[in-house]
Amino acid sequence: MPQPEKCRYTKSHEWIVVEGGEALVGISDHAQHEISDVVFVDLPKAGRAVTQGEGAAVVESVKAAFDIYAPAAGTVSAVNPALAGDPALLNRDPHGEGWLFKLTGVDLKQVDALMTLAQYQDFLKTAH
Amino acid sequence: MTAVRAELLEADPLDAAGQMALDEAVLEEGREGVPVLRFYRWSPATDPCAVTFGYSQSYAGAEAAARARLGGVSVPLVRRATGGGVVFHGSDVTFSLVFPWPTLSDPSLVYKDIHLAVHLGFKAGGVATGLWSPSRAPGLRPDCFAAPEPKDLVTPEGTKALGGALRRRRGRGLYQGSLRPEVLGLDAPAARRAVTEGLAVAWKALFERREPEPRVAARAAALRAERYLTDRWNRRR
Repeated sequence: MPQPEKCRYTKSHEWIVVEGGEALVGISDHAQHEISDVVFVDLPKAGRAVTQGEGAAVVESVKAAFDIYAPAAGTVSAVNPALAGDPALLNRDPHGEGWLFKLTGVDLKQVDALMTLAQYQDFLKTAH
Repeated sequence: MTAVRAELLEADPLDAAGQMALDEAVLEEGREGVPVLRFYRWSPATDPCAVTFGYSQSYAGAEAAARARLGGVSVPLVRRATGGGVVFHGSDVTFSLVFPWPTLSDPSLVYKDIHLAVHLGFKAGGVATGLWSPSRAPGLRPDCFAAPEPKDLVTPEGTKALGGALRRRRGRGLYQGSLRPEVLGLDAPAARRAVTEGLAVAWKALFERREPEPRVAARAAALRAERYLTDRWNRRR
């Protein structure tokens, strides 16, 4: 599973990392902390094409549902099956077992233009 | 301090699918930075008139809850875009609030902010309420009004008066609330006034009465037909 420093980040708190032609997507530790106790994760169907910034998943916590966006354009190739039975994985391990979905055919220029971990941490300081 | 411009949206009576669709249309298409408060007017204006249930709840569960409560009375069951539990509509004061939520933050703080404002509105009218703050959260229940949840508005005796649910999308929040005026000894108009005045004071908001803009109404009509009236949405789980 990807180390946070190897990921790129969006201002809406998703992370993405490209490994071997496939990109893994999740939400940051900051995001899971703010969303708080996750009780449900609604993931996209495999095969769905998404554009950058498109709503791709929904995470529900305390009577609140949050839209999660695709960090880059691509096609959903897999979703995390473990989240259906254990949505709290997202809280426990947002950069590991709590990943959301995989994308193929991602636009690498879009990924490269996202924030590094250091830039994301600076963003969090200015956004709060 | 300068007052925040806000809208008190007045729409025609709508069915449950239409109410959900208009809320989502305002969330998507409303004016940037302008809070929008809307009190539902139901069509048909019966009690009960509809049941709504949370984004992640199962249709079968909502249907079972409706059957247990309403017996043979048939009303529409519509899935909300917000989280939370099953809500029975008819005698409640249902309202929605679309507001700027630019920075991702703990939803319990948002509930607190909204419910504290409503609490202040009731307090100004001499009606005592408080925010339910148990030492240990009991865990969410399928029926919204079965018991209070943390940050719900309750009477001094602990009876739930107001519960709500949230959706966050692109830096905006949608709150959908259900208020039981009878547990506060109020009628619906007095409850609506208290909510409006509480939010106006707490948020320093100046509410202007408006009707939905054409683009909002058009989006709402599309969402009603393509989402909230469909089994694909309502029975998706």
